[in-house]
Amino acid sequence: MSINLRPNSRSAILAGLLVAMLVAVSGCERASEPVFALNDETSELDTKLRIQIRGALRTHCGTPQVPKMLGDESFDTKQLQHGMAIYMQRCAQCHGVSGDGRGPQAEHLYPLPRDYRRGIFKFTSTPYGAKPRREDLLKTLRRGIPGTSMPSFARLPKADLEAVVDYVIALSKRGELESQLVQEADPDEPEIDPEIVQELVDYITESWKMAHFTEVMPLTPLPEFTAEDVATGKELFTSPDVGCANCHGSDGRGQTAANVVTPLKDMWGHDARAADLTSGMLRGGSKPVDVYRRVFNGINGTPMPGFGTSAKIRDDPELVWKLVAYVLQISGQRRSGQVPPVGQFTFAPYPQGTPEGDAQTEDE
Amino acid sequence: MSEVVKHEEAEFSGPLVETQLVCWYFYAALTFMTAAMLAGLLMALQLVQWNPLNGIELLSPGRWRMLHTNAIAYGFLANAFLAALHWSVPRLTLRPVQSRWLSYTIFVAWQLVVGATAVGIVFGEAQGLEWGETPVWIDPVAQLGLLLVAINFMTPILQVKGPMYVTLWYFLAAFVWTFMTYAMGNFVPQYFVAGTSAGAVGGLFIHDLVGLFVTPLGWGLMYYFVPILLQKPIWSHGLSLVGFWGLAFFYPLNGIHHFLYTPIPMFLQYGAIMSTVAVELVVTTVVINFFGTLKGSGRMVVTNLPVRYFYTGMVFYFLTCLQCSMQTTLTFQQVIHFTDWVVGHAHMVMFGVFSMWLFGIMIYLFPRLLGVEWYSRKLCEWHYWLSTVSLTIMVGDLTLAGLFQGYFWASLQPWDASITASFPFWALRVFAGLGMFAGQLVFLYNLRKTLQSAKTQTA
Repeated sequence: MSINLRPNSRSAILAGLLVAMLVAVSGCERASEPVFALNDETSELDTKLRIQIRGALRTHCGTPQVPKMLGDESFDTKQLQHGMAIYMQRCAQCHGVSGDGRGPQAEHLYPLPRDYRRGIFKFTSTPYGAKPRREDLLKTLRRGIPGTSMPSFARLPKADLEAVVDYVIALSKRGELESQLVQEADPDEPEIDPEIVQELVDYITESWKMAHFTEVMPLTPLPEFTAEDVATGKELFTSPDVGCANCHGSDGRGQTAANVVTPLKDMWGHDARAADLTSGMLRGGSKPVDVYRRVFNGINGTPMPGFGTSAKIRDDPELVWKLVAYVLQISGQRRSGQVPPVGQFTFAPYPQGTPEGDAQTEDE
Repeated sequence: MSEVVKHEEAEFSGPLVETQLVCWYFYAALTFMTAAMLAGLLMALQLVQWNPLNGIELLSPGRWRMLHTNAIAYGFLANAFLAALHWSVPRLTLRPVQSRWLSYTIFVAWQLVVGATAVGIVFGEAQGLEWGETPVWIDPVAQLGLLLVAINFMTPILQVKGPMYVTLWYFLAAFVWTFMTYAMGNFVPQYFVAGTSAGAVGGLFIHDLVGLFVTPLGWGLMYYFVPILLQKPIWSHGLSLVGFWGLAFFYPLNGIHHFLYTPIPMFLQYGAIMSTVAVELVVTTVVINFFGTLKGSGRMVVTNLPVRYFYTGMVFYFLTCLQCSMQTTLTFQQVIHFTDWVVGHAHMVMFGVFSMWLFGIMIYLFPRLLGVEWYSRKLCEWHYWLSTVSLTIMVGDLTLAGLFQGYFWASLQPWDASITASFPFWALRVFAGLGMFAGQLVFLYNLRKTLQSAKTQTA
């Protein structure tokens, strides 16, 4: 008898506990709604100018809750809100609410997450300095960026990816407007001319629109790579008039003093080290056409120039493919079991100093 | 031995055994098993990016995973073992346990310990120790509980005059070893050593929990139940001693093999590899002994359900140990470390072997505890086949997934590529998990119906 009653009362207690737990959990939603953080430069301005910039940004770009696409009043708000929801769930941890690359996880990452607010994206199919095409952003989302913390989102539904791309574009336009407005803001004049605002809006809108029509296609069709192509590529790579080896080193490992000891800075103010091409992780993608575009166009925001306009390549466009052949060959080295010799320099991505543990013991 | 069998046949529910407590322990075990399976299912869904609880911090996958493993170890295994111990120890020693009152106190206290562990883990209080995530403030209570369990059962065992049956050897060892293993894992890395040493101790803890708590109790119970069900003595008492002393001698160092290629001294790593391989040889003697016992009664595997559970578990045991002796080598570790191979291996041991044995024991004992036959033999068959087939699929699937993942990583493809490649395996694993869960639900339904018929019979 008693045996029979126990399990029933037990399951009742268990069910009660579960309900209590769920109730407790449902009270734990994040309370504050996301807001766009201001640019560092904007925050330094007078209150008056700051308020104006904030107002202009709100008028043209909305808020995280009701985002707007800059320069396109008719853009579907629902679509942007959908993108925002996914962005907040999957991107904001690293890239931040406003796309400033300062999400809560950013400090743990190397390299740092991209700051979208300059409207500059590294891996595009457009010429150096141009905005990316939608397709480029989609491709980055799908592929991820090998060798960084950016994962692939290829498993998300296409509609979600499209929505995120729209939202990232909206964020990046917003950020660009903000930084342009800061430059226009004159502490001596109390107001920013609304006409200037409109001009900037038009300029930004136009630059994104234009990007769509400027896809760079290889000048010559993709050849079948031969050992000869690789050898020619290597020659070009190391020749002083093309100069790849100046930064990447003659073996492609990036083991040059200029690269390791005194690296140049990129647009975001970080050390821009030329890639170790032998790592096997080509961040911009490892299809031949991806590498072609990196060589031909350069990489936005970084000291990597485009070689498409150099005299040598104008004379013989086929040479780009030779370089591609060489880059693909060295980047596949490790995968085929060859280990390139240890270079002269070792990279120190993190600041060197007393280990944290020691410092703590001293405090104690 | 013959004395044991005679006694077994003599009576089924004498005053020796606190049948009600045995039932309670089994109910608790099944409750936690259901919770653990739900948690496992959620993890499987998380891996195919279909988590229904996505975004809820308290129920996030990392915490569910700990609930899954802890509910199995301390909720299911510990409770079911205590039930079986409360049945078998008084019958083997012909003496009741130390104190009836203590037995009930331990029961209540243990459920509180497991419940508090679950709550602590959900609120992020986990101790940084695999399989020992029990929050630090529960550790002393659990330790005390283990001590009381040891006292409660060792009192009758130590009063036995004359030679002791091998089951009691195993039980005695298990009470001492479990107490010591728990103390080593939960207190040493937390308060006394750090770094690599803490890692080494953690590794020893994970594996000693399997080898010095679960294994001796499991085999002890097999040495008790199998001869009773087959109605003949164990094939060789000599071999059973080889098994016992082999376990005692070779098992303790095994745990280091979780951390090969680490800064742990190489002599320890090699020692762990060699003793793991040695355990496989010991295991072979034990398995031979049990199949020797089965010889001539092979038909029982078909007709007698508990016997089938036991021997299925033994087949899995042999496989899992064979796998173990290979996968601990440095060569294998290069490929399979961190992959789903290990997850498959763990499921084969914990579900395929020990859970199957305990289910077999439950199927044998419930009719004797409740005084009625099972509501449906057919549903018992369903439970058996769903569990066995689904587990086999899951283990095969995860083992293969592990190899794929390992070779993907070794080929220096981007990490994402290995994830993409794992998806089909993870999808299949969800279905395998659903199959195991369905088996469990069938079992629970069958038990409920059996309980109902027991109620009407007494009324």
